[in-house]
Amino acid sequence: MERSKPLGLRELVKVDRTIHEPARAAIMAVLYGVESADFKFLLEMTHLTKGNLSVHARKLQSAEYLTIDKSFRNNYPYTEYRLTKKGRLAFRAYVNKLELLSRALND
Amino acid sequence: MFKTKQNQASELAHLTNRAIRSFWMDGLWDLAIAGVLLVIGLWGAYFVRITAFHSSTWPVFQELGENAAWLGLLILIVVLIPIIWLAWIIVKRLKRRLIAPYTGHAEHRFFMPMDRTVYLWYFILYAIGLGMLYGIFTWLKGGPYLMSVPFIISPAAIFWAIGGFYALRRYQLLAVIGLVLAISLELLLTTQADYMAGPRNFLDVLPAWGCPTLPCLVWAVMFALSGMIGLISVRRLGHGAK
Repeated sequence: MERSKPLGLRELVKVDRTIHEPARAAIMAVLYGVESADFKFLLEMTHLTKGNLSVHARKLQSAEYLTIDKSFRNNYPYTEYRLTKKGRLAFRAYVNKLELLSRALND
Repeated sequence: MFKTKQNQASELAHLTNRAIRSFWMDGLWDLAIAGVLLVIGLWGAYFVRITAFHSSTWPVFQELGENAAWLGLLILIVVLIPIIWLAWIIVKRLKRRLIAPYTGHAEHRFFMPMDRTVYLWYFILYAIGLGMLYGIFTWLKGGPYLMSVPFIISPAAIFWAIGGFYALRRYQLLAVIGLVLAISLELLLTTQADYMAGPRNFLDVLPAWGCPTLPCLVWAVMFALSGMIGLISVRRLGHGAK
């Protein structure tokens, strides 16, 4: 991931509150590595409960960080999650900020 | 606070890497690559023979001379692109059918956001291996085996780099076994072809070119083996497979 110049303290505290929650950050991290993923894949990767996953995914959807496609496959409901371009950029910026923060605290 | 932030960044990177890792874990892509290597092996057996021995009845190769090898490589690349694309589509469908019921399904991008360390390791291993093997073959077989050596070292470097970074132990194990096998068999089984008599089979090679067929066959077996191991272990252990 690209690194920008060191941030001031004011900038550091302005982390993206939508992503800055462990469950939502985990969902974003998994989706960042793939094009799209279904409900079961996300569940297995993040170890969240079904309810938690649904709620946090909806919050990310309302922030337009991911899209949720619901359909039926072989008569079973199928939910597919996909990061939007905005979501990808926001996640990258968030991780960069975390790295800068840890570096700043190291100095 | 410091520890929390630092851990969070690395935890997120770990999760992203696990999602990427799931692509190789089930072994289906390895099986597809085994098939692609067989195609390259067939090309190698045929093409190196034609280019190495100008007694061929094909006038076009006589005129092209040694340039025919590079032209052949270009043709191979052009032919391989649709084959790899087709393999990609088939693997995606098979993943949905065979793997999704066990681990869920994720669509991976063709150019995955892999860590730079993987590329760095690959190029380091490839460059060192290339130099060393050209030296060894020149010393022991009287020629650098220009066409063989890249096919010996490249799959080993890929296996090792990906296996090391994404904790796929079977990749690293097969990288070592495949590398030793490919070098040993190439050294032991290939013979210098008699220009007047012409090549008897794909093991009869010119030391300058060598023949990529043997390493391709070795790596095809390794990839097929890796694919079978992956397929079985994912169906038994899910995302915990190695």
